[in-house]
Amino acid sequence: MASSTRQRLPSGAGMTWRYVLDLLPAILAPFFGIAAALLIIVLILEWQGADPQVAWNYVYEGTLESAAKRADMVAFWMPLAITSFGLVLAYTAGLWNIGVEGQIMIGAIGATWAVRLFAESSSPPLGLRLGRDGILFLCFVFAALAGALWALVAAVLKTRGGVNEIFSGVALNFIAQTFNMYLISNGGPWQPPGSRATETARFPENARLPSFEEYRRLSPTTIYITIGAFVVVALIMYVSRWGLQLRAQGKNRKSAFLLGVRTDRNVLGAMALCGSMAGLAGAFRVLAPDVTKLTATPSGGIGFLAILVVLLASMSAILTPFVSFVFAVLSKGGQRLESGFQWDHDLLLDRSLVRVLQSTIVLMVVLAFGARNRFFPPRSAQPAVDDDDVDRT
Amino acid sequence: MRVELQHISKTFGRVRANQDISLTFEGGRIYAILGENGAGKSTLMKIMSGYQSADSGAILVNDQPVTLSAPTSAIAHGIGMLYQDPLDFPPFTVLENFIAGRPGGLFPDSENARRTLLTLAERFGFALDPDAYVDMLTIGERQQLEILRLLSLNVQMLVLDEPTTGISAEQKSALFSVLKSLARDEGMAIILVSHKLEDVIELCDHAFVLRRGRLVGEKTIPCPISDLVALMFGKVIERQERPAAVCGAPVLSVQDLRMVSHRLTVEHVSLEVCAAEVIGLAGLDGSGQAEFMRACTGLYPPEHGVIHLHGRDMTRTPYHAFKQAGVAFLPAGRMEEGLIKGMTLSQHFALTLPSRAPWVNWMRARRMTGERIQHFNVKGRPGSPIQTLSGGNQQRFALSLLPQRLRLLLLEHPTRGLDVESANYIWEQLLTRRADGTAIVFISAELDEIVAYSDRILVFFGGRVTLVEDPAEMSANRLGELIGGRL
Repeated sequence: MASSTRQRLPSGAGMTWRYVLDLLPAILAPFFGIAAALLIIVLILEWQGADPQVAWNYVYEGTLESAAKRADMVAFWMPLAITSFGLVLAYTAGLWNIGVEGQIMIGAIGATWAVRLFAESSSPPLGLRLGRDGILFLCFVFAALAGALWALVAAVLKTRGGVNEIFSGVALNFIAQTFNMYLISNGGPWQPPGSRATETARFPENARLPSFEEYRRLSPTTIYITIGAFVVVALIMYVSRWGLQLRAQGKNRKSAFLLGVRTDRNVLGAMALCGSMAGLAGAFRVLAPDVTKLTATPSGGIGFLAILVVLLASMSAILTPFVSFVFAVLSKGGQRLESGFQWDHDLLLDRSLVRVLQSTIVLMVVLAFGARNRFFPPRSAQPAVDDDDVDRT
Repeated sequence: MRVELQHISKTFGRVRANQDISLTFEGGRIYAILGENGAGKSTLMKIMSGYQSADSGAILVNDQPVTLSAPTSAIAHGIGMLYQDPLDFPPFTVLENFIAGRPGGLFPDSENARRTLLTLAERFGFALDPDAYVDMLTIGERQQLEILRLLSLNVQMLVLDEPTTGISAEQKSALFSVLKSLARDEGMAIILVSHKLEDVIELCDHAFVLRRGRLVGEKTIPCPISDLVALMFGKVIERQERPAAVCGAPVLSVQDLRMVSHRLTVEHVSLEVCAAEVIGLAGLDGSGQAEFMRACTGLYPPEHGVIHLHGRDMTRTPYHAFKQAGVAFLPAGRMEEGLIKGMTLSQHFALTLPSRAPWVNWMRARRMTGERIQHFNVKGRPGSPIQTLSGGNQQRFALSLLPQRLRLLLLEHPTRGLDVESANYIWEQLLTRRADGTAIVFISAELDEIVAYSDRILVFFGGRVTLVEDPAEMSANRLGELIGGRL
């Protein structure tokens, strides 16, 4: 039996070549997608009478050209990346955590609450008079717990009530947004007295993240926490038994359950962990050295962007940092391009065109993956041509 | 009207749903197409009604070859199909549904249609209000509406798929008398697709039996019910001589179980299974065996009754508690419930191997996989994704995944879709486990398998069970009658 198996395998060199051939479509798909997207973007700009070169200069100038711009881009990249890491866990377990946007907002609210309790209050709980490090630590703990709890609402609704997490997620996003507006607008409890702006007052000195000497808007703390989250997620996904269980139940929840996986418990765990990372992203956003206040849009759409990142990275923990980097460049570059469209006489176009261009890239990459799956299905997805199973019903 | 099917074959992937089926239907007669789930009945009916096309073979209507490209072209050739779930539009009225699907431009002649509907309804004694909304009707009334609609389109052959599911006894007798009169008086050909033997015996003149995609026989009715069972389930072979089960300690004890599903209520099920005993669950598909088996493993909470495992009350405990108590359950749909498409053999092992460590020891998992697949004769490598294995290999692999010490093993159709050699191999493995003291309970649609391997047989019919204590003393005919509902 063993010998017959061996006979069907090609020899060493042939096999390596076959693996490379198998891998090629997978590697090339995103490149073809991006190339097709760039071609379409160039065509759109030409058709609108704008110079693509000028447009690219804006994107480049807005993100990568100078060290200061690169620092700004990284400050945007970190919350996006950490949210994406959390989503890798949820999506691997087959949980379409659309509620991640709300979890970011609730995390931001949690961090702000910690600031109010421990930094601004004259009588902090338990009489704790903390220094900056202690206060910031509690801000992150509060943000992570708040995000986790918000995600657990969706998880419990799913395991106990059979409510699809997509529907509860949409509802919880809306509730989170409304709750945030209640806190900071129209004389809400967190709006400074006499202010008409929908935001809290700026946080006191001892609740501000440390920043780099030369780049005041970027904080090293967010980078350390994000790297830590990446290590945790990579260990879970590639080493741990739990990661294997999440993968199994994401592919087939019923089979995984019958094979002995505690699927409901894992739904709660994966959602809570995802929510806590989203909550940390919320804390990054409000504590950022150039913000230090709770605004009307603490998330700024990072949650939805992270969903795209994870889908394009095919839920791979290793690819996620790179894909989120590309999206950070596109987003920050897009902002710069928007002002170019408004003021540059060579580029006078509608600002909303930036969104069209960004969406074109996403669509094209997704399309390229779809084309790959259709025309070059991965070997594992092809049914075997096996010798002993020809005449069966 | 004469419809002839010649050498119809149809495959889905590697499943041969229909293999070289040739049948002839004559006007004026009522036919039955019998077969268990998966025998190929529905595929054949869909081909006849133009819903699907055959891979090869021909359909002749009145000796003229025809191409049925869509249900409308089948209707144009006089073949109408009544689906199990009526294909109507519930938010609309009876009359609107009656008009839908009829030829006639943008502005249907509703007065004319109403007259046609009422005339037809009167003729067959159906009390249908043209202005009633369809979602207020019973399934039986919706069926009547669908029959009238097909008749108004001048169909000459009516195919009915499981028409007696979900309708009342009165509606059933009304339906049957209408079908009889359509055949006798109008010369129509009526085809009943069913696995309900009592309906077939009551209504039909002739039965075709399908099994595993092939036409395995035909009978003119009346005939003994056990003959039809034998055709549906395969020939009952003589039981091999085998040492009688030495009944050990009771493993599973079920008392007065009552299980309610939307289709069926199964009541008064009691059974004691002792160690090293094999119990076969026989019965037509959907008679409650599957629910019973799931109740015995914590997947289907019974409404009433108690389940003991080794003297411990396990009623309404979750599946994982059963699993920890040494119960394993292998469902029929391997790739849907049991194995995980897209994961490799060693990933399956890593998932199921008991271990307290939070990480996976991949070296150990790969080594174990190699040993087990060799022991269970699985053709595949530890790194092969599970879906690349053939059915027989998947089943052997599923068996190799089970813990080595088990008290009770529950199997649903353990050899469905396997060839004789693979099936024998599976049973060799199962009997080894039995020799180690594992009690085995299995469901099968093959009578010979049930008779050959069971120490006792529990027969399910219409929500009741009959326990056959000594299958060796039991004639095949008697077993066939029990399955067909003759107590």
